[in-house]
Amino acid sequence: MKAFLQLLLFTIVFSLPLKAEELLLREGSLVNFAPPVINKDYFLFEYGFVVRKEIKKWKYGYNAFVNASLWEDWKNRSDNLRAGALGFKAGVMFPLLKKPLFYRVAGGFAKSVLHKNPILGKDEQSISKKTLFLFEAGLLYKFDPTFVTATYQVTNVKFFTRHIILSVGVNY
Amino acid sequence: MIYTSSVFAEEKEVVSGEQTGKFISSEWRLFNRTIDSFFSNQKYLLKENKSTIFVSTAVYKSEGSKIENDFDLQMRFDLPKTTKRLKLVIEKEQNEIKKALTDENVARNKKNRITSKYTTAYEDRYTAGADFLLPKLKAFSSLIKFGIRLDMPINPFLKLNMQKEYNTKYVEIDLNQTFLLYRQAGFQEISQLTFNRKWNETFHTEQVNSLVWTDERDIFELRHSLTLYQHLGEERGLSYAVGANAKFSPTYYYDGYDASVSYRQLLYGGWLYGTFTVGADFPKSENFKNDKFVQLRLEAFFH
Repeated sequence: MKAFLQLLLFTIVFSLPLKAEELLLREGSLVNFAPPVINKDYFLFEYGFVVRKEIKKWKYGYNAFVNASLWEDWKNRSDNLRAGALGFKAGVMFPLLKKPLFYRVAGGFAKSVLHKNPILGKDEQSISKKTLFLFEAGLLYKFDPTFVTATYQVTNVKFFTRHIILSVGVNY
Repeated sequence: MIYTSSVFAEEKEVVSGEQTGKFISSEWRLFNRTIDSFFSNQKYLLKENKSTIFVSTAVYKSEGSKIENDFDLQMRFDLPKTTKRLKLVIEKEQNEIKKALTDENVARNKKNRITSKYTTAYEDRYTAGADFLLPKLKAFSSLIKFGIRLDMPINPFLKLNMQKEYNTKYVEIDLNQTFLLYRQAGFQEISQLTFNRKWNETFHTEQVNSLVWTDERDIFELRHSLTLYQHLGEERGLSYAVGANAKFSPTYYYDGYDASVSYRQLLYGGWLYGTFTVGADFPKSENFKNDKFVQLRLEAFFH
């Protein structure tokens, strides 16, 4: 985890502002997906919208996004329970190093539950429910129209013990 | 409750595109209906079909109980790439059943009392969904709404709403039929019959009869209410409301009455409103003894 944060810090510090329109994600839809084969015992699906923005003073273009997010996590659980959440995330993606590499930072709000079947189960069988706030930071590398992401996430809910999440996505 | 704009003669001349928007926006009930009917002779806010943010906070105190606070944030986004018939909406949706069975001026702050009768599936929840207006038929207007509550396990819902107005010289009659299907709570239905009468530039009345049924409780419940709205001047109004709630099982009986008086005023700019309400409930469970309450509510609209 420390190595990941150091890499992130290094990348930010040595990044150069640039106006590289072609590097930015195109305005439109954004789908982000992480099946359990990518992260063990974890599932994620996100759908949202992305727009292009610019810091005019520096002529620095970046992307802003908002998405709906659904995820499920059952890492290190021996009680046959899973943690699930449904909510929204909003954030920005800054291009770095004159490559289609982005620093991605986001905040989010969700409703979470601890349940045997957190997505399709019955409400009255919920073990615990919590309102969740999250913060995440990470990197996104664009292949156009697809991309891959590596994210470090923290939340206020103890059901979720995982911090590093890998995912793939498409921008169209 | 029911969309009442055609009480006002000017509104009948809107073009069909605006009709579409007006009908969709009529679903934004605590937004436009209370404001417009409260100020008695105001026109409907057609612009509200654009992206809108509504923030409200209220302090509610009933006799012998603690002060209750309520905060609500609602957002309605007019997103690109959608037609006039399709609207994407994120809002804190008030429980439809509770809304139909409660004095609307204080419904949001009665959550503790009302939900004690229901399950958590009936609490107000943030929802994200799409409203799709069906082509207007001669017989009625209809709207299909599909959405999902911001909750886990997931609770998607489907709602079909049909409205029909009859305008006579003396009174406007509105029929409103809503069918709801929630994955968690099952099927619900709400039938409403409303009579609106504008007496003069100062007064108008609204009489509403609501019949509801839910899969979960499996009984019919009924509410009658009568509200007199008094226009006091520019953006100031009073309302006097009485209501009665009945159940059909095990036999037809009234299980509560309520009465309230509210004063509403525009406080600042064109967007900050304040409402002060005093009233009392008379529940059968307490031998119809009065249970008095006061409520102070601030509402802000941005669009």
